[in-house]
Amino acid sequence: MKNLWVLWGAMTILMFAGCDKKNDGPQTGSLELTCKATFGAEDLVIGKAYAYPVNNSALKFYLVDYLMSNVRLINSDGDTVKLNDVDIVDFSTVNTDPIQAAAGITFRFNDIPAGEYGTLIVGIGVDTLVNRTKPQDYPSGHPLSIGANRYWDAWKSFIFTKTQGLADMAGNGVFNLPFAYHTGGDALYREVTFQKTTSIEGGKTATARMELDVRALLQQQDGTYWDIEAEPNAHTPGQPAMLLIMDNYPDALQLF
Amino acid sequence: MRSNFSRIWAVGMAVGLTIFLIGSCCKDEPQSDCTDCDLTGIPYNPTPYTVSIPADFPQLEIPATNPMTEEGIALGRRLFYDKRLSADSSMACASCHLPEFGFTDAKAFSTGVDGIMGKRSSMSLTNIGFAYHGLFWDGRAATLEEQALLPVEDPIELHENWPNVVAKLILSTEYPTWFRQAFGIKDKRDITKELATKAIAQFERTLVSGQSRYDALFIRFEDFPTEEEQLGYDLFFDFEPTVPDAECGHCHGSVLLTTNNYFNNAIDSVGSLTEFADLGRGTVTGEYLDNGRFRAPTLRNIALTAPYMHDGRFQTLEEVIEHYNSGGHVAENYDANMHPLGLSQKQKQALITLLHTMTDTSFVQNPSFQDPWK
Repeated sequence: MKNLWVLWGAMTILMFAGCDKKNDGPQTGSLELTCKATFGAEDLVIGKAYAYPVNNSALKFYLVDYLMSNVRLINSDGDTVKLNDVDIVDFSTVNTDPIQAAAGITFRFNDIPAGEYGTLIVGIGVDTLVNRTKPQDYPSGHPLSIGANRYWDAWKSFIFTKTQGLADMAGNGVFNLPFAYHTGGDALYREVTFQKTTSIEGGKTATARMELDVRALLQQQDGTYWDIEAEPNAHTPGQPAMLLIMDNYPDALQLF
Repeated sequence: MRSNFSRIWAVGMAVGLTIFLIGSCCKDEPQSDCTDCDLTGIPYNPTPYTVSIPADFPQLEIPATNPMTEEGIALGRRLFYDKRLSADSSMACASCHLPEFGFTDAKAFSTGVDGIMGKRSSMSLTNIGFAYHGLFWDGRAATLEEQALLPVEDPIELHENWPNVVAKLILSTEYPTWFRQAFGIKDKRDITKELATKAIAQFERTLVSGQSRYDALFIRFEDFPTEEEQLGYDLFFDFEPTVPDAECGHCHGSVLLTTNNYFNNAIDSVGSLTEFADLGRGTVTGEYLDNGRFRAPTLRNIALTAPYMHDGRFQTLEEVIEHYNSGGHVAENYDANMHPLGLSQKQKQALITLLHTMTDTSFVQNPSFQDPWK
C-alpha cells in the first residue's frame, strides 16, 4: 500500500512537471510585414517611366514614401496588440532596381501573443498626439527626427506621405515637369483596416504583404486621373491633391 | 614534463620579449627626444562639460567614447587653431573655418599648404555637432572624430601626416600636459591621432548658435518681426497661402535651418547624372541617383559665409535667390520642389532680409571660440 502511495505521488509530480514543460514553450510569435509599391500591376521602380492615363503622358517617380504608424492586430475578442509606433516606408532608396522593387521592404514585429487575429490596422501618417511633437524631440535615426526631413513647420505637422517625380506631359519622352505631393495635418491622418486572418504561432514568424498602388493614389472618384500639369505641387493643407491622395490610401493599399 | 614546461615557458618569454621590443621600437621614434615621458605626476581630474543648448533645439548626441570635458574642449580648441597640424606650420583647421565668416573662409575654394586649390568651398561649422547624417559636402565622414582625421593628411589641405603631427605634439612643451589633463594619458607617447581628433570634436560640439534675431522672432517669440521679415518667413516656410511658397523649408527646415540631407538643387545642367563636374554624394555611395547631390548647409550665419554652393559659384545671397527663383535645371534626381517661383523683387528682398536675421553675432564673437594662441 505504501508503495502505491509513493507511486501515485511520483506520477502526480511527473504529470505536473509535464504540464510545466508544456507551458515553457514560446507563447509569442512574430510577424514580418513586407511593404511593396506598384504602379498598377507593375512593381514600382524608381526612375522607370510609367504610362499615365492622362493625355498619353508618362511619369517617373523618384520619391515615394509614407509614415506607417499604430500598426495593430485585433482578435475576435477585441484584444488589440500594438506592433509599432511609427516607421518610414521609403521606396526611394530601395526600389532603385527591379529585384529590390519586387522584394519590397520588410518590417519585423516581435513578441506578438500567439493567436488568431482577424483584423490588421495600419495608420498612414501619425495621430494627433504624436503630431503635437516636433522633430527635435527625437534622436537621430528616428523616423520623426530632423534628419528624416518629415516636418513642415507651416502645418505644425509631420509630412505623412511624399509622392514626387517627373512627368512627361507631352508624351514625347521628355520628363521635364517636376511634381511633388506632400500630405500632412491632423485631419489627413488615415487608418486602413484589413479584415484578414493572421495566425501567430508561438516561436514562429507569420508573413504578410502590403502593396501600395501609387497609380491608385492619383485616381479621382469619377475614375479619371489627377491632372498633374494643372497642379504639379501640393503641400498646403486644403489643396485637393493632398485630400485625394490621403483618401485614396485605404483603397490603394492591399493586404495579401 | 617539467622540462617541457620550462621549454614552453622559455619560448613564450622569448616571443613576448620580441613583441615587446618590436612594440617599443615602433613607439620609439619620438622617444629618443623624450627625456621625461612620465606624466603621472600631473593631476588628472577632468571636469565634465554640458553644452548649453537653446530651447527647442534637438538633443546634442555625444559619443559614449568621447564624453565632453572642459579640459578636452580646451585642448581641442588649441589643436583646432594650431598651425603645427600642417606640413609647413602655415595652416590650421581654423585657416578654412574662421569665426568671423561663420566658420568658413569666405572663399570659393580653399587653398592648401602647397598652394593647391581645393575643389569645394569650406563648410560652415555652425551647429556642426547636430549633423548626424555625414560630414563634408558629400557626407564621407560619419562623425566629427572621423572628419577631423582627414584634412591633416589631405594633399590639398594641410598635407601633413599624423605620425609627424603626433611627434610634434609629444615633443612640444605644453601638449603632453594638456593631453594628460584631458584624457589621463600616463606617458607622453600615449598621445595619438585618435585622442587629438576626439579633442577637436569636443571643441566643435560647443559651436552652438541659437541667439540670432531669427531665434528671437520665430523660435522664442521675444520680439515682433518687421513686415519684411514676416513676409520673408511666410515665403520661406509657406506660412501664408496668399504669398508664393519659396520652397526653402524643404531643405533648410527645422530649428537648425537644415535637415543635413543631400539634394541636387538644380544648379547644373547635365545630360545625364554622370556628367556632373563634381559627383558629390554619388562619389561616396556609388548610387547613380546620388550624383550631383550635396549636403544642405545650415542657413544660420549664412550672410557671413559667401560665396555660396559647394563650389562657391554664387557671390551674393541675391544670386542665390535668383537661382532658386529661376527653378534651376531639371535633372532626374533634382529636388522636385525646385520650379520657377515667380517671386517679385519685394519678395526676393524679403527672403534676403530674413536670411540676415539668421546671423548670430554672439556666436561668431564668442570669446570661447576664438584663437587661443593669440
